[in-house]
Amino acid sequence: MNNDLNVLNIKKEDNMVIIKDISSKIFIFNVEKNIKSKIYLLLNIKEESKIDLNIGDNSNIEIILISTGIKSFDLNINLEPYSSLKLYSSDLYDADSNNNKIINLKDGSSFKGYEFLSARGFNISGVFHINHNESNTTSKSDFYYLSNKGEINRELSSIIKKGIKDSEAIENVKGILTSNDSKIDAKPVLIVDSLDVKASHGCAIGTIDENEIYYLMSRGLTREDAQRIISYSLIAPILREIDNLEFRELVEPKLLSAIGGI
Amino acid sequence: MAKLIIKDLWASVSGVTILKGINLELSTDETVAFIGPNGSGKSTLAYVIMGHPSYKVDRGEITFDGKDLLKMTTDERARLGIFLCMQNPYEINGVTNRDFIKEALDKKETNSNKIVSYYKFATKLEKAIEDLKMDKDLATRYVNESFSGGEKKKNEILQMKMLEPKIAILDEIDSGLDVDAVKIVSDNVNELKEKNGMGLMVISHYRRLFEYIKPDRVIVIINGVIAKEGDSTLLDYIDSNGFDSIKKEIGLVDEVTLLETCAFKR
Repeated sequence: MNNDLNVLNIKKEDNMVIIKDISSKIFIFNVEKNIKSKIYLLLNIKEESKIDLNIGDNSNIEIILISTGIKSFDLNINLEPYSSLKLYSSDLYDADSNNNKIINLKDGSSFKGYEFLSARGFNISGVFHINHNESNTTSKSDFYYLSNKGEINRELSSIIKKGIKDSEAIENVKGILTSNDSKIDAKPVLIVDSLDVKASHGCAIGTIDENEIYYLMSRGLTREDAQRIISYSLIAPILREIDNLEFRELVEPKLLSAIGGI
Repeated sequence: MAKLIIKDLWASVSGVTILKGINLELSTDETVAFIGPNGSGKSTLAYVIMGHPSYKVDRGEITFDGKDLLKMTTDERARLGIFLCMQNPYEINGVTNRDFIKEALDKKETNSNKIVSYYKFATKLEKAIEDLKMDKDLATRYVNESFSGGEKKKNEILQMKMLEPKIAILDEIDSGLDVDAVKIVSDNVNELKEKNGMGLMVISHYRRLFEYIKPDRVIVIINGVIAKEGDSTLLDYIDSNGFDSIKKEIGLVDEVTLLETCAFKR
């Protein structure tokens, strides 16, 4: 096999766990047409890679993608007509990273995304672009970021091209800064060149709201508990989706460590 | 029987004095109605008891069961058995009701070295949701996020039912509730009181609530002081005569009126 190219075809309709070291320059995952599946992906990125994930026509897929490693990657997800993808992702690096995620939507496809990133003393950059290339496409993306003495610069955009009809794009960003020297720059951007669409975005970045802490404390939680439970809320949407014990045991400690090991 | 005792309590917000020498005793078997005009200090008293950081205690004492509340943090007061049903509960995105209430219950039981099994917790939560006629998906929804006004108030009572406090302060728990919901909420409060012998401080602007939650005593707060105290017939008196009659009766003058009078004399 060519070391620069690796292809994995996903045909099974059951839930499956894929744990891979990515050490080739191009890695392609092909998900069959007309299947419904939940896929757990734990990728350890050892080389700078381009990863393609192709979702076949009319397939209904949920992917929980956790990446770790030392090198950056470009992820291209292509949704074929009438397919749908729920993607819960987190890049859990312990050093600077620049990972890019591009979602391409074809006719009638839908995308729901949740991305959690945590910068603890290092920098995270990169883009997350959603391209509505054809009509009848929908996307809803939530980006939850945590910065503790680190910096997150993320370019987030949904692009609806000219002539696209009956499409919808929603983007929401929540960022929590836990120290004075933390920074998050992650403005959601909507680039819309069509009239027949719905698009909205929201962004809230700041320290943990003192009123939220007070409310939790008024029910008996200590300040530390309150901060922990609010930070935990950033990874809870991912953990709630993981009903595979093997995968959970592998990724839960990494996610907990990303919010401060609590 | 434990008692909440407040002595000569003065408190301010942003340098403005709101409470001006409140004295009060409340036992864990009593229900006390707190009424008064808007801005008279009722909610301030509730928040001061619960240690909200925006409120400063300038003078006085608050003790519960002989313990000095003013030396305790908000969470310590809560674990001691004091609960505030808030008028405007905060929304916490990303934290589910179930996770939050379980965490609070675990924390409370840590004090008594009890372990709350998840099965017992889930059964109790399910029943409490049913008792309050709330949507079943409420447990997995984020705390108060996208809740209607009525759902938020019921969610406060749900937490109270789960945590079973010794003293509960209900701050305008009936505002935003329709007639049926007021009855449901009141029934749940009464049931918990009957079961555990909980003390209640009930703040409301509406007589209707006190038809369901019967007070042993009625306290009228005006301009940050306790202006009058009596039994439930005081509610009828206020209904007929308004708060102005009490102000006149005890010689209380609104600060605005006082300023206007001074300006006129000058």
